[in-house]
Amino acid sequence: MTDTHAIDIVSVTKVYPHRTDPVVALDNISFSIGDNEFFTLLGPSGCGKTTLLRMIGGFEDITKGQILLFGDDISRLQSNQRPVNTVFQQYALFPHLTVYENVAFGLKRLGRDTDFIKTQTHAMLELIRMAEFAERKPSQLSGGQQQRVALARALAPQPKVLLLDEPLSALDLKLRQAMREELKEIQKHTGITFIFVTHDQEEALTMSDRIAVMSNGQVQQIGSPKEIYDNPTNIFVANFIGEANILKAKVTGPEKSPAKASKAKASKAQAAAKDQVKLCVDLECGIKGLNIFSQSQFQKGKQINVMIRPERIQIKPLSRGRGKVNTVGGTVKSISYLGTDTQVQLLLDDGESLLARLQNTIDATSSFGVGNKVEITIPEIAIRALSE
Amino acid sequence: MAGWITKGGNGAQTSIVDGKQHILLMPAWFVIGILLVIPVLVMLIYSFLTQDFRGGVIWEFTLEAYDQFFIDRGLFGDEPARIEWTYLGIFWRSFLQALFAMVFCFLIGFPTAYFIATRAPKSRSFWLFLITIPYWVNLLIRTVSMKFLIRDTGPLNNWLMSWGVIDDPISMINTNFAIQLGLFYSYLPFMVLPIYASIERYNFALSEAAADLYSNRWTTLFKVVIPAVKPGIIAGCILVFIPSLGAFLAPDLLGGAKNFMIGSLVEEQFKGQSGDWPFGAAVSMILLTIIMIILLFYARAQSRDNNGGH
Repeated sequence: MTDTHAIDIVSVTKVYPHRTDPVVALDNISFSIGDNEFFTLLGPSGCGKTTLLRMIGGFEDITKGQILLFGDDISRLQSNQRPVNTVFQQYALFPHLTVYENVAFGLKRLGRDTDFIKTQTHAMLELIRMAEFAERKPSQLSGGQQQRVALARALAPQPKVLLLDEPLSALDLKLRQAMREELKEIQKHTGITFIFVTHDQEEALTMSDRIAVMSNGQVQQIGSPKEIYDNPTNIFVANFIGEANILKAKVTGPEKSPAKASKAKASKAQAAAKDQVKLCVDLECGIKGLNIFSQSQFQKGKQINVMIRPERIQIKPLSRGRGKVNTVGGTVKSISYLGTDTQVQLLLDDGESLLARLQNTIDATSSFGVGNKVEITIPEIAIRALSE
Repeated sequence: MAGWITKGGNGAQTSIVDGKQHILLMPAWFVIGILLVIPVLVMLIYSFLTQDFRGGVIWEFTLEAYDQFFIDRGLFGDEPARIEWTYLGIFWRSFLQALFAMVFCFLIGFPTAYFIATRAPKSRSFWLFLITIPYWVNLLIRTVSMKFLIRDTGPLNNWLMSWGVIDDPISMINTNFAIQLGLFYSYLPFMVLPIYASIERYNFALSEAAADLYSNRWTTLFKVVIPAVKPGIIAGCILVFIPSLGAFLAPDLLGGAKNFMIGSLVEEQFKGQSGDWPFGAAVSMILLTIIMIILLFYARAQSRDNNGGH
């Protein structure tokens, strides 16, 4: 990543006009995508991610705002005048042309000389390991092969930015996982900025340099996969990326002097999570005086939501000792075995439910069953305050 | 019919049909056999019979009709045999007329079909309805009306004169233009409907992909849209070309005697007492043969296309 911006989205709004209720697909969004970045637009269907991608590609008008490509305003250019190419969701390969002709299509339209077209097309077919299929028609290829041809076709004219519109959604699981690796590799190899649209959070987390989480035509959060997973800014992001327990809490003030034992850990985490403040909160479930990270400052006495990931919760069989830190009592409601993990649904003593996920190590999980009383530890370092 | 359905009613679908194939195929055999094969066979046989001068045939086999079509032996049949150009000329003219009608229908029909197919799904049926409205009126009446529209004192000439475009009426009746107009008007829907069906199934993401890959509108049209909807275009062309080749109403009513076409030539042979049935049958058979050859070439080109080349 460098300081150069491949794409700048400048207060872009998209409204689909309608006599009675116009639909706002994108609501005044602004952000930048760095050169050479693998950038993902992630969100549920209808969040505006595809609309934004299509606007960058030139397939949708911009109602308000600007899109800059390496500093140049491309908002008013037709899609055939924009040096960006797209990998379409259903590939949209030309059925009457061979694989070779499909890949060479863009270069021919650009009027490149014949020798260059030949070498470039062959290089692309090598890149996707499809050289021996050059003379086939798209209908004679499998889904995965068609996908790779679509990728080669879009890369062949050497675009400044490559747009990928849910390119893996039509593939089966195994193929999808293999293609993730391949896409990532090709992105590194070519050095082209990729803008990738998906609703699959796992895909986004494994491939992206940065992710923009979108919903309701707005960008909820932009950050690296780790930032987004560890420090979601609001309930939507926390729930959309991975699983999350959302708990109610009350702000009791700024950070209190941390307990001696967790001091070292806390400062390490502090370094990882810059621009964050610490708050002291009481959880509604009974744990008091927790020092937690927050991205924004809250007034004392304010009711807020906090998040904890299921895998951060620790469960132990109930023991005699009293006064343990950050611990509440609860009951095991259900246990589901997921292979690598076991998912435990817990009912806290105050009636709230909580989801925990335990790794299946050799000796784990067997120590309690459904209906057992357990001790639940919520480490304060794993709790995050969420904004509205 | 209810009987055999209840009899096999509890079984799988195959058991219902089992052993009844010949009954179920009856409608198909009826259409193909009674309505297609037998009439053509009758025509084929008649073309080899001898002409009866009051119309009808005498049951004596001869090649007279074909001889009359291809070979000129002079007025009294005693001159050395030469190629008869009269009928070949009529065929050639008809061929050109049909070709032009096909091209005009395509040039107007393709944009029309494209327009309709790109409307919102709800309004498409309305536009298709508009296209088909004129065809609720009999072809003969439409053709005669056309004659009234374009005659020297008809509305078209009157308008053109009142707008000052022309000073004297343009004589349009009995010209190739009038025939073209008639054919075009008769067969336009046969071009529009198959192309419409193809474009409706066309994946418009392909047009986006073409634009994404630096095609302008025209290259997108010629390199992507037209190749993708080619089957519809070819079907439309065949559906316009073949009936145009044998049309007789438009040429007869609008083209006059000078612009004789195959259809009129055949019609003439079966009309009244002066007709020559074997000759009419022979002309029809020759036309049929030519059309079959064209379709065969088309079918072969098509299967070569589908096999994906090399």
